[in-house]
Amino acid sequence: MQMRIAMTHNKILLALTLLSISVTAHANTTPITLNFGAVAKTTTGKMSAVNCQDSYVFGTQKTAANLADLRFYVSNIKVITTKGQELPVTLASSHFAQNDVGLIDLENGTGSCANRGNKDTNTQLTGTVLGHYQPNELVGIRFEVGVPTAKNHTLFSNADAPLNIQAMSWAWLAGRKFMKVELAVKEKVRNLSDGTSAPLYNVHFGRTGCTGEPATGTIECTNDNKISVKLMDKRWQQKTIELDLNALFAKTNIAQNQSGAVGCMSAEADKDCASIFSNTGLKGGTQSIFRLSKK
Amino acid sequence: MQHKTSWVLILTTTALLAGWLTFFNSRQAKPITTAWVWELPPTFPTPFVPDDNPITYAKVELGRHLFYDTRLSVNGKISCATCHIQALAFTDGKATAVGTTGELHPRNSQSLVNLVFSPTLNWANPAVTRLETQLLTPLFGEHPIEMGLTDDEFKKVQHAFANDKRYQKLFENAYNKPYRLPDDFRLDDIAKAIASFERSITSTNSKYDQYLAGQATLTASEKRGMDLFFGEKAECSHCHGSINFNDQMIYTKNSKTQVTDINFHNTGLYNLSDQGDYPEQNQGLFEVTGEAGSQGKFKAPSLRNVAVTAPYNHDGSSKTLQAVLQNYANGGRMITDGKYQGDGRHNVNKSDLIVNIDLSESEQADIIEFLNTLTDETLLTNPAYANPFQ
Repeated sequence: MQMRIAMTHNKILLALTLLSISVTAHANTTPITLNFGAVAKTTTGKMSAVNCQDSYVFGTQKTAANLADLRFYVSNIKVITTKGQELPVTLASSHFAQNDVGLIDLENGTGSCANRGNKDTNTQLTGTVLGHYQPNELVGIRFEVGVPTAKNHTLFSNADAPLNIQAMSWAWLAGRKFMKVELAVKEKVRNLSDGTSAPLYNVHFGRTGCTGEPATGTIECTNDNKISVKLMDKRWQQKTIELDLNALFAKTNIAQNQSGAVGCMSAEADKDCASIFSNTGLKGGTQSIFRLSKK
Repeated sequence: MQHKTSWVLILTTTALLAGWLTFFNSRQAKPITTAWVWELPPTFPTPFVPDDNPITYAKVELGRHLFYDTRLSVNGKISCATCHIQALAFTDGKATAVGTTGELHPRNSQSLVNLVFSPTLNWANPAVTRLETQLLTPLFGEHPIEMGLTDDEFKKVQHAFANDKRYQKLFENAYNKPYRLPDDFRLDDIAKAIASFERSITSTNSKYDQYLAGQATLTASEKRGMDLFFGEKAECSHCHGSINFNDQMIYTKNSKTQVTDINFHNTGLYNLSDQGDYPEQNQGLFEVTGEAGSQGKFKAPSLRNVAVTAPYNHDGSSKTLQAVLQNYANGGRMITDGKYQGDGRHNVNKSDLIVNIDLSESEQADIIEFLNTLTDETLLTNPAYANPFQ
């Protein structure tokens, strides 16, 4: 009997301790929500959220294309306060996120995405910042499109979600695709070098110029290629962080491929990357492909 | 009485024996995680194996099955062995590889022999230094499609393996844990086993190796060829001078991992511009580094078993060893017509070791005679590397 009481007593103590931890945790952090989406101009000229059914027009030649795949990693997320402080966001772990990296998946594996995509989708990342803040104190958000360098070169075959997706791995460069935008071009993409044609125009952002150290397996790269995004708006948490695919392809003719694999694979030698990169801030200039939705 | 005793003895002995046999059998059925023993002649260094994938007999045996398993291609048409045929020293005899959906690869399928000594693995890719990473590209690569797996298609492979009693056993032996459900058959386990099998493919018993061991004599022509090969006239050994007949080696010495310089070379096969461009998709190191001057640079391949690995060069554009020798004797290749027209001899990125050399036809023939001594018949027929499904 006495023992039983002791145990109960211990349980109460434990419960109190846990309660105080959770209360403390709650009091010292502020929840953060990032909503993502992508928009493009349909063949009827209307800017809409992209899906795997509708057709869109892209690029300098207003070429008709459907979405084939659209996914990207988000990391180094920081919330900006009224005082200009940048508070690092710790993401809640899920099928789509680890503490420092999340995956946005804007295709559902149906329609024009059936060959490339999967049925999973994810438009939201949630997490916390240390400290207690009112929503109107958090006036901006910044993040990078990419995977933290320390995790980028791990094998997807042995990684935790969301870094375990083959479609986002880049095995031949021993890393990962930071962002993957693939378009199924109706009239096909013409290879200028040999006159052949290909069904998809692919854009893959990722680290390039990489060299492995054979003895240790560590990888060094000359081009980080993480798009850096900063968006200021005190209502940013109610809005959607939109990827504007028309802005991404604004200076590109997606009906033709100038060199290398079809589209832009982030390689220094890939002539098709110049026009794509020009809107991302990666080679000077400012990024104009991500913005906050109007509402 | 005595009779009776002996019967008891026999019965007891039989029972004991049966017990021991059962014990012995159960021991045998347990995972064969015995550390791998490299059986290499003293001319070879000790291989380097990454700490996170120690090589064992059970992993190599599982890897051999996976290597020959066509279920690892999206339409069940090809396995690793389709482009890496044992009888051809694990090449495929084609100019460039063909994927499971018929897509052409821009590159010639490389031999897998003595890969355990290679610090880099592709024709021109300093980024990939581990077989466990490299093999994911043929399995899952999209540009071009080789075996065509995707995240979803791989789940089907896992289901197939989970329903395969032979594989349950092979995986359990290799990793010493139960394999029942599809998710148990992790890609990491598959990759580590295939990499282990590939590391096990060694070739050390060519006529040349026997000659080094004092067990064979070279003909006069082979000897002349060897002297030219290692001599300052032909200078083949500058890039093909290691025990593996290339110039990139990784190995272990005094418990330390040793890596030679990682070199890539332009040998003047093409010259499509004043930048020294090679054909699209075959620009070599340039595709990875983007550095000016790296156009047309590729790894010097091992020449072991080179007599059976035609056609040659990164794109299979040299059909015979005679053609290769001719290119080197001329200090590069002149292409007089067609879309790749150009004088490779004047490629700005060409290695300064590739110069016009006065090699007579008989001298070239001698070098080829020597190269023929690098063929290892035991490698080409060794049952340890053969298809386990036949």
